[in-house]
Amino acid sequence: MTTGIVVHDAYLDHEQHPLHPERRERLRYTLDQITEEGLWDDTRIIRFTPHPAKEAELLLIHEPGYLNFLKHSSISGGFIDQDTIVPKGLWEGALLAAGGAITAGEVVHNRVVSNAFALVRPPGHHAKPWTGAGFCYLNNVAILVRSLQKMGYAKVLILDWDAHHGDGTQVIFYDDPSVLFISIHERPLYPGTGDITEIGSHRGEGYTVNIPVPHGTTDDSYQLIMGEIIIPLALEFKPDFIVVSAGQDNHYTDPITGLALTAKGYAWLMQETVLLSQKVCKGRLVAVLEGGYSIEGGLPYINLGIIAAMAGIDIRNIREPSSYLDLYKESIDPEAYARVENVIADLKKIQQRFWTSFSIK
Amino acid sequence: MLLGLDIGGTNTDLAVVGETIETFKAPNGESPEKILGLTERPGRLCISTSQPLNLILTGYGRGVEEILIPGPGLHYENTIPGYIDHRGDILEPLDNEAIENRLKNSGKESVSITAKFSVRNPAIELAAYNIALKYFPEDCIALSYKTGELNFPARAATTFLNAIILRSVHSIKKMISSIRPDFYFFKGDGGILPPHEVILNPSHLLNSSAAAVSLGAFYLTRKENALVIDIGGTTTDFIPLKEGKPLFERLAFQGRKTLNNGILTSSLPYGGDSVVSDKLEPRREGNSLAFGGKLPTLTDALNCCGFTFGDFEKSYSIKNIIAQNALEQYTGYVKERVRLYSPSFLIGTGYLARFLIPAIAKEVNCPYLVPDHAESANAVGVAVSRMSLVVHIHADTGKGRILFNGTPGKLNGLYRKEDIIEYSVRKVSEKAISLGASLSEVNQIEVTDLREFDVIKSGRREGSIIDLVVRLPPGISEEAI
Ligand SMILES: [Zn+2]
Repeated sequence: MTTGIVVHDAYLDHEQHPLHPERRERLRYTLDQITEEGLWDDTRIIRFTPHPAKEAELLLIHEPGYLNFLKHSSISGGFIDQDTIVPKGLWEGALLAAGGAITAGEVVHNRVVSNAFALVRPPGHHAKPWTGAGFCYLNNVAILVRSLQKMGYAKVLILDWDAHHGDGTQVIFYDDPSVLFISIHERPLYPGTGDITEIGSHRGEGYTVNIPVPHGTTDDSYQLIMGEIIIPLALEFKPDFIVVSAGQDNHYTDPITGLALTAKGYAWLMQETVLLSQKVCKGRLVAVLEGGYSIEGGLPYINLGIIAAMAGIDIRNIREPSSYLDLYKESIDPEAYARVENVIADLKKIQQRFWTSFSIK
Repeated sequence: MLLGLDIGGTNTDLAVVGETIETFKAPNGESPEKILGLTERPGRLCISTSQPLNLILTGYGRGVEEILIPGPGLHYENTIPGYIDHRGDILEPLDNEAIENRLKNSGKESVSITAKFSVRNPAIELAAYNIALKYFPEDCIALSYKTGELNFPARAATTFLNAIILRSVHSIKKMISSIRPDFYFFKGDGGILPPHEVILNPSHLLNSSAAAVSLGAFYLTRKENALVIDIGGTTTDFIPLKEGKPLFERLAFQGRKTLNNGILTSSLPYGGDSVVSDKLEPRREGNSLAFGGKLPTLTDALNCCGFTFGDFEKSYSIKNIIAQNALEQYTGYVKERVRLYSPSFLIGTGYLARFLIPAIAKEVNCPYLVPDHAESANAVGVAVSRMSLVVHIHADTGKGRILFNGTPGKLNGLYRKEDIIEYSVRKVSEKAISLGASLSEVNQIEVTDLREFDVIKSGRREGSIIDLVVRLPPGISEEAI
């Protein structure tokens, strides 16, 4: 198995403000870790330089008025919301992030690699057709999905495991039965959407699946969700391509969220996703970086675990340093698992009219 | 005066470069003192030792005890617990007992110690070193942090190599120093360094032959774009030059990539000592008949065709037709290889170049030059080279740390990027001068691979991290220009 890593110096340069959680520092330690682990020398890892997305590709998702606003406010700076200002030069960086997701899709499509991880910044899953939000400007994953459909992959499964609900992506594909959008996210948390009752509309009913999980949710709950919801849905939906909105803010060290996933948990989750992709769509899988703000302590180990899992490299030693143990103990909630079981049961009831896997026999 | 000595597979070559160039060749087997006796002249002496070191690598004694201290991350077998993270903080202490047990019962000749992120803080490797000293002599312990570069597996491979050759390099250093204390080692990148600096990472000495030949070929011809064909005893090597410099590729050892670059070459397994039976064979069985050997060789075949190398009449035991066929076979192989490079110019070096290259060049329709001293171009290259130095620098102002090739230095309260770059360049310049570089050489120092970013802690700027590489690139000594 070979894994493409899409990365660019510009992904390290974007910054709204030096103190913003979504800041330049985010990818630096990860790249140090990848370099120190010798992954650039590993024949299973191939590095790719992205090309910027074309405006025609953006227009498949975003409204021309918003794109014009973004382009113009990038010249001298602009404002979308408190969390999302437009720094000078954003436009070029955002095009390269969206283009990075597309590049990852292309190298998988052309079978240069088995799967690919686009280590892009800025992230995208809160961006809607008409506006940016929550550190996001262009919806990288949505733009990728439309590009993949143009390449001939009719049905795409999006698995969004960022701690925040991928409200932007949900809105974009809400009516669309060709895209199955599954999101696992913490609730209550920004942006507040993502209830199990949000299931899509019109022909898209049943093609939006939300799995809200409580504060303190750990690896075992994610494993349960994988087995109970994601795998059965994927087997039934039979996608031609799987795209992961790979947010890494579910880690127990993340400063702005309350989940308690470990690096090993992430690696396991990705390993399962790789197996699933092999089962349903010949291994065609792209992961695109979304959030993740445990810049120093979490991200290097998580990203390493994800890359190793994608490339089929042994993940048994993926873990955080043992000095983090106390922090882990403080982050977990022993009752979260039971609550997740309830969410799963309720969700199955709501979704069973669309999915035979959930129907009660 | 510049003196260059290249200890090769069959011969040792000496070059003396001053107002004029003189070169000498001595067969190996002569005592090192006698060869060094040739160098009893004033001037700077540089020595290339890659051949003897390569020999050590092919048959190294009881081997290396390889200690890996990877901490969390990718999986390795047989490891020792302990972990330093990317910021240089010790997050898991070294397991003293585990390392003690490994080393106590090792039975190996030397030990290599590689801890993850040791170039950000050598503390764990140094702690392991102190334990290793109980069971191994100092010159048999190699530590990875001195290589200065991130890349744990490549650093481990490089340190493994260092563990194999460290003792030999120490003894070569001692032997030569007793006769000539102020000498320099010639390295695989074509630059030179004094022995006490080389000892920090002796793997830099490996594969220096191609560097010596390419530098010598360029110096003697001043052809910037050419293909060097170096005809040796056992092989014929091809080294392309672009703008006066060879091309580089990463070196591997036993299938493991190291941190070192070596010059890009290709080789044919035929040279002047290749055996001629009923045809030319890709093996060497000692000297040519004309030089006291037992089996006829390519050199003997040349003698049968009218040349007069050594005791040339002894070569006449080969039938003429076989000699001619062997020669044709050889030139055929070389022509075929040359065509792969589509060179615009050929430079011939080595003992037989003068006799073989003109015909080959004519047949591939390419201009050529076999310069004076082509026979010892390697030694000329060694003589005329200048100091080269690569220093990887990592500064973390929040932690108050700066490391030069993995070795902690003093940050002296500096925190601005510009100041840290200037300080780094000054430190490396001072070091280069203390190692013998001239002021004009120091002016060639360059900064590459600069990265800088702020570290934010609890909404405040804690400091910044600056990585850079300061290098003095190899080249030709100003004394030789
Ligand atoms: Zn998020």
